[in-house]
Amino acid sequence: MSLGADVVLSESPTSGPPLPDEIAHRRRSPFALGVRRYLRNWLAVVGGVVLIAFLVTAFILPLFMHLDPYGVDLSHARQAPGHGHLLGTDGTGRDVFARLVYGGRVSIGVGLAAATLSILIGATLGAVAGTFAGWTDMVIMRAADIFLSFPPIVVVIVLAGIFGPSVWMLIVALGVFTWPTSSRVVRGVVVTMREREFVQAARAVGAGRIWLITRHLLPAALSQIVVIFTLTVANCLLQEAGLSFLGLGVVPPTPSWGNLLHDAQSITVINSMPWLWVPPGVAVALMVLSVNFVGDGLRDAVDPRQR
Amino acid sequence: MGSFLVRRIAAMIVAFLLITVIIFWLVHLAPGDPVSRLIPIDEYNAGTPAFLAHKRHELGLDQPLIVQYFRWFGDAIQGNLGYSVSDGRPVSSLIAERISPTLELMGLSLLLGIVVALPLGMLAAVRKNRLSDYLATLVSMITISTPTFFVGIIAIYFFSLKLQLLPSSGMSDPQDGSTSDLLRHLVMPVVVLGLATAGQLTRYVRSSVLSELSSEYVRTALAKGMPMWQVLIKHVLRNALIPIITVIAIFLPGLLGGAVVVEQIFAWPGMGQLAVTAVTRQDNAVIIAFALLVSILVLLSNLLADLLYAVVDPRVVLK
Repeated sequence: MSLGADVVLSESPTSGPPLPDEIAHRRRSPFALGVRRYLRNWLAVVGGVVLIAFLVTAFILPLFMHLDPYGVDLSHARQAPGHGHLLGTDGTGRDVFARLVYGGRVSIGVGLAAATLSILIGATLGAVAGTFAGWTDMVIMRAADIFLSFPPIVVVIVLAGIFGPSVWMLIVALGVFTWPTSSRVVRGVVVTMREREFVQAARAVGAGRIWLITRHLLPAALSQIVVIFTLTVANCLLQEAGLSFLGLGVVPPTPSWGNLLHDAQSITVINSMPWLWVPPGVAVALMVLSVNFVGDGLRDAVDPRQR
Repeated sequence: MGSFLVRRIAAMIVAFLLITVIIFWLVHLAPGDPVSRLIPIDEYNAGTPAFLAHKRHELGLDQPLIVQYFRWFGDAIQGNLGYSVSDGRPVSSLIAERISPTLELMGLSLLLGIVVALPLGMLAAVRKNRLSDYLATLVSMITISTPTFFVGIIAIYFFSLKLQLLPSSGMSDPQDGSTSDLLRHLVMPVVVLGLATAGQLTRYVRSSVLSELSSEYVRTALAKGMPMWQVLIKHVLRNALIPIITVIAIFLPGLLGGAVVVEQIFAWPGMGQLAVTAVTRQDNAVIIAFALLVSILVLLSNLLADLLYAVVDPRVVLK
């Protein structure tokens, strides 16, 4: 925190008006200000900590701990937690904790992949709509309206019904039907930036549209894109869980948080084997909640006027 | 307004045609014999190869793809959507009996969502950055982030299994057709879907009311000595409702998506349950019909949002 110490020194009372040099010293970079705003939002901080804990558990813990999510052991099926199984065993004697950890990998992986695809499509189309304006803009934004109001779950029902469920289809469907949010945001930024002097200057010296988009307009929208990415990850995690719960997403035996809950549709499991449905449900809810808090915190940090 | 409406409807029809082309193309790529979903399954299973070849010719499946498309489209808009593979009934009558339970579930949940979200969102906006705002935001964030099916399972665990207060599945008990029985079956599905809706709506209400609260007319009304609650109800709410109504119209298809999950948990005999069952049985005719219906709902709710925007806000001039 050497920066903090400098600031305190410069804020100490001095006689007379501050020198220009001093003002510059007192100013922090927009990034540092953003970090301060983020850290002041305790929900966002807690969300960030929980998020990191989840990522460590899902991706790093299995490197140090032997976990077998596929080992069937029928003689120890449906065991309550304890006896060497932290969260008990499922209907075929597989370790619930191992499946939860590996399921987290799959669910988080699907969420990240789908959100990345969504942002790639959305940012590109949004930038194109904003730069080209006119007819192109109208068609893209009309399409965005329609895509946005198609519930991804329905799209996946149709695709899974026709071609059978698969992880790749899930990722593509979620990506393709969540892009409008980011395209709207990027288009908004591009439209306000389009007439700025630095863009006009670039255009005057002969920059083409592709150059303008990639070098000037998209970087300007970057902080907003990060925010939308976070919120899209949360949305995709929820959608994956819902679809896998319905048996239309990740196909067993590959575990995912959603399909672990698929087996909890029977009354017997709900009633007498809570270790099978409580942990994956809580995992999804906590994960999505913390990603949402991080997203909200980032949004306020990036643009304090919105709250 | 007139020309706006004509252009929007024209754009909507173009979008619908595009969607039907995509659906038709997807179905064309689907594995399996298309004859099986176009004639009742008993006839198909009993049919000799010669009979099936004859049917294939009669249904135009040996024609060029474009001809097949127009034939399929013509049949579909007349309500001839083929036959379900699993029970051999026409898809149109299957859908017809599933629509009203789904609409009932969606309508009541939306109503509950609005009734909860309006006061909660207004409270959060008025008490901005105070404890009640944080609590309202936290609660709505939790309801948004918790998957509906998990909430549903928790509800079944407590209210059906532990307390034995409410039935866990179906719309009614066949042995008991009384009104109270119907209502008891309604409670959990409607509350679960309604709370999920309320969580999302609360955020919109909050931000919409917040942006109105900073308007000049609010300050004028308060300066005249009008009590805050009156300002809220008489002035702020009316203006804040404009964007909220539009959001609700756009929400409708998403609400159907939520209904699909809720119907599955509570064995609610609606369209969502029909569609999910159809997927597990590879019943393509039903899936296609479901896709067409949802597309129509999406396009209509978009149009509705545009129109409502103009109707509720006289300042908006559509051109």
